[in-house]
Amino acid sequence: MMMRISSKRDVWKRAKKYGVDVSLIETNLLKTPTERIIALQNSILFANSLRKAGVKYYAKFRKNNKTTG
Amino acid sequence: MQNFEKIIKLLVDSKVDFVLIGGFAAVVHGVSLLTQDLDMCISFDKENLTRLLDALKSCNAVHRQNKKPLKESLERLSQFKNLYLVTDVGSVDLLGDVKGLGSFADLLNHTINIELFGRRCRVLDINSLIKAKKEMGRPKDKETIVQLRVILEKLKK
Repeated sequence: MMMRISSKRDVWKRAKKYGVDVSLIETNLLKTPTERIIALQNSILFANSLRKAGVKYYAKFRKNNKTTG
Repeated sequence: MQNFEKIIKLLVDSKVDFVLIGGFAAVVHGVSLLTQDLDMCISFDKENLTRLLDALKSCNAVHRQNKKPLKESLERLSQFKNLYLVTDVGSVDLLGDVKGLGSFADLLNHTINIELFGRRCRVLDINSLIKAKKEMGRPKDKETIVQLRVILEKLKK
């Protein structure tokens, strides 16, 4: 019984050390596996749109550097 | 663009034998990390490869490293250890075995059956996923292990 509590404490301590947001995991556990994968797919789409926006933004600077340099 | 739903439906409907592994399996279990990889352990026997090729014939599969079409003979493909493919519906890594766990056949006793997009899929169970991630030992694997252990504790309640 003591081992069980100690092990649980270790798990939480380690999660805290790694900066794991346990509430995100709790939210995921309320979803079905399919909902978790849909959320992952949406996150990838969002990350890709941010990447594209970044590329577009920095391309403007590269273009300006070429014309002025 | 990665379309997990299409890839999974395509493979399940073509009766390809596979086990979902890696970061994708971790997300299925509830891990909050972002992964773009779809890793699967498959059997590289000719029957399964025939079903795989049948599933992929409509989606222009090419080898990720050299972008060459997947045109090898069954004989040749069955000698491969892994296949890293890009298709019209996304990338997929097909592995012949998982470090620390073994081949597709070895994994069968360490899977759970989960419904994804209306299809039943084999997913590596949490304890085996932790074991595989320990074997890999990369920083991202360490965080995945931490999260998987939190999930195990949550599931005990």
